[in-house]
Amino acid sequence: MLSRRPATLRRRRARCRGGAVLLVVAASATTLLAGMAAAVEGAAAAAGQRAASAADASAHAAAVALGPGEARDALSASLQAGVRPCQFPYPREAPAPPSPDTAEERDTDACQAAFNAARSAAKDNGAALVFFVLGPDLRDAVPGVGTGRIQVIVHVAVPRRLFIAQRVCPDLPGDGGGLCWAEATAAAQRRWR
Amino acid sequence: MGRARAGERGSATVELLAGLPVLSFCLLIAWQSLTLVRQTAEAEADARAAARQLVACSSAPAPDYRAIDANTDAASYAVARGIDGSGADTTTVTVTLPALSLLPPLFGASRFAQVAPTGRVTMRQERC
Repeated sequence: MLSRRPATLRRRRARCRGGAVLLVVAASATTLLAGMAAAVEGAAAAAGQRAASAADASAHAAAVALGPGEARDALSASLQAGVRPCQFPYPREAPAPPSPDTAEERDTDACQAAFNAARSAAKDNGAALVFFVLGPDLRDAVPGVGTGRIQVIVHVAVPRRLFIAQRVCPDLPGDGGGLCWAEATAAAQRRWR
Repeated sequence: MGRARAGERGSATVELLAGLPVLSFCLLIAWQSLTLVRQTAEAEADARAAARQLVACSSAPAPDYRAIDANTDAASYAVARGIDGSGADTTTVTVTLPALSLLPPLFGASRFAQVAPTGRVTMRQERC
């Protein structure tokens, strides 16, 4: 019995030896992993900021593209009458594409110009335009009053470029959720007259 | 027997003391990365605010950068005018902040200083 004790103690001491190193290594690894996770989360937040900037610039560009003119008036009349939406992607249930009618062509031109401006601004800021809609501000829809403010709403997506998830991310926004793309929505208004 | 135990206890302390700097360094690296990410987001927000002011039809010739962010006195603002694909005038604002270094110079602080947090925003110029 007495001879066993020292042997047991020696084994225990041997196990304890290096315990502090293991503890520190484990703590360092945990800290590193936590740091990496925090950095990834931070990078995701930074991508969110970029997306917000891109959405802002995109909506603003579309509003600026709607300069004063005959085309904008035609677009306003068309939109407020609910003839055709100025929207991307174009809704399936919407009326058929524009006919060769002159007024409708002008209307389409203004819509197309605003859309092109929004898409170009989004691209300049490293984003992809996901959704775009242009229409009258419903708060101004008072009976007997003509055109009010016009409103643009855009939704853009910016690739997060997380090195961890880069291989599984799709090339286009829509799939992959929040891990691959940071998305943001912005709106801009323009007074009609 | 007693001396042997005391020696083992001492070795554990030495191991712990040797390992603690590693742990501290890991903590510093993580903190430094987070700081850089936060500064990048700040630069992006500053660039957006400056671009908004620059493209608006206002009488002010230049935005008040101090009003945009009082904490970024040392920030550098670069403004570039250009034309986008549809021929419209654009303004690009690039904000670069001095990287806040938490690491001592011995451990690569100069490398982190080279990673300057930058934000860039391009907006279409309003027609006045």
